[in-house]
Amino acid sequence: MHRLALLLLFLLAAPAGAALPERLSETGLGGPDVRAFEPRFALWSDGAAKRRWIALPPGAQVDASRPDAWRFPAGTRLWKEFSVDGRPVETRHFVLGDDGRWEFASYVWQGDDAIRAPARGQVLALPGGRRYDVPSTGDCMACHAGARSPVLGFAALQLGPAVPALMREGLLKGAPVSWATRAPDFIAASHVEHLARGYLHANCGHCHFDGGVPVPLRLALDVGARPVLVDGAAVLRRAGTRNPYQQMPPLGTREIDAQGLALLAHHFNQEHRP
Amino acid sequence: MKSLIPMLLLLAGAAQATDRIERGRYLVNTSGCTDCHTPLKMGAHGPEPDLARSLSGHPESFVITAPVAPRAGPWMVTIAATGTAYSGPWGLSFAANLTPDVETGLGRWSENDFLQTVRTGRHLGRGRPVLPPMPIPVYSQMTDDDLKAVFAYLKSLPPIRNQVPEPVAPAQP
Repeated sequence: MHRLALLLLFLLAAPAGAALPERLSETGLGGPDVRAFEPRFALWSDGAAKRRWIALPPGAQVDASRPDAWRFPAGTRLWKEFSVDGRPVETRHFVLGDDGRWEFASYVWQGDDAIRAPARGQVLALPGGRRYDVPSTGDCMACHAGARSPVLGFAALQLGPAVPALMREGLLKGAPVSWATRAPDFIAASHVEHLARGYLHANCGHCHFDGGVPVPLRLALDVGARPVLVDGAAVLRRAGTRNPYQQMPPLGTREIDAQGLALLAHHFNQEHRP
Repeated sequence: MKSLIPMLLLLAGAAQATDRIERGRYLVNTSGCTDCHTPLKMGAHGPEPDLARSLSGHPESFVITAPVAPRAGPWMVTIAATGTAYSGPWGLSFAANLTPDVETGLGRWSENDFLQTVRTGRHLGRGRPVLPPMPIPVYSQMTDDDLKAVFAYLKSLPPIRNQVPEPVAPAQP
C-alpha cells in the first residue's frame, strides 16, 4: 500500500509535457548542441528536399543496446525541414519529455520564422497550384509512435557509415564494439537489393516490423541480417497507386515516387523473379 | 489455506475475463455494431440479420466493384441489400469482418491495434482512414475499458472466414 501511495504521489507530481513554443526560432534550432544528420535511405515526401537536425542533452548518450531500436535520453530534440522548389515550407519538431513521452509539432514558414501549425494539421496552397499537407499531431504519431524507435532517421541502418564516428565520439552506449570500426549494415545479395530493401526499410519499415501492423509483410531490416523474402507484387501494387484507400505509405504522400517504384520493380521483377 | 490462494487468484482472473466479455457483448449489442457488420438476408417478414454470418462483414460472394454514380436530388448515400456496403461521396465502403478469423478478420489484431483504430479513425491506427458510416466520432469517445471489453467479446466469437473487399475511392471528376 505504501508503494502504491508513493507511485500515485510520483505520478501526480510528475510534470506534464512542456508545451512546445509557438515559433520555430524559440525551439533551439541553431544552438550549439544541434547537429545535422542525413539518413542514407530517403523517405519519399513527394519530392520535397529535407534537412534534419538532432540535439541531445549535454553529456547524454543514445542507448544502442538494441541495435535496431535505439532509445533516446529525455530532452532529446529533433527537427526536419521540408523545402519545395528551394523554399522551406515546413519544419517538424519533436521533443522527448522527462515523462518519457514524445511531443510533436509542425511549424509553417512565414518570412524569416515558422509558426506552429494547428494540431489538427492544415493544407497549404503552394505556387503552381500544388497542395501541401502539414500533418496533424495524430498523423505524426501514426508513423513515429508505434515504430521500433520513434526516431526513424537517426538509427543504425539509416546512419550506416556515420556510426563509427558517433561511437568514437562517445555518443552511443551499449552498441556493439565492432561499430567503432565497421559501420552497421544489413546483408544484401546485390547493390540493387541493398538500395531497394533500404528504400522499403525507410518508407515502410516503421509499421511493417515484427510486432508492428498485423500484416504478414516484414519490410523492416535488422543489422547484420538478410532481408526477409516478401510478396513483391503486393509491394509494387501498393507503392504504385495513390488511390487513398490502397496507397502505401498511407499518409505523407500524394504522388507516386516514379524513381523509387522503378527501383523496386527492377529488384522484384528481375532479381527476385520466382 | 495457502495452497488455495493460487487457485482463488486463477478463478478471480477467469471471472474478470468473463465479466469483460459480457460487458463487451452488452456494448456490441447496444451500440449498433451488428446493424452494419452482420449481413441482412431476406426472411419471411422482410430483411433480417443473417445470424450464421454474424459480425462477419460484407459477404465476399456479393461482389460490388464501383460506387453508385452521384445523382441529382437530395440523396447522398446508397446502401446495398445486405446493409454491409455503402456508396457515398467517399466512394464505396464495406463493413469489416469483426470475427477473429486469422486471415480475414481480427485474428492477428492486438488489443492495441483495435483501440488505436477506434481512437484515431485510421486502420490499425496508422493506415487508411476508416470510412463512413462507421461512427468513429462516437465510438472514439468510449473509455479504454469499454473498447477493451468490445475487443475481448469480438475475439471470443467463432471465427468466420470472409474476405471483405478493399474500399473503392470515388471517381475523379
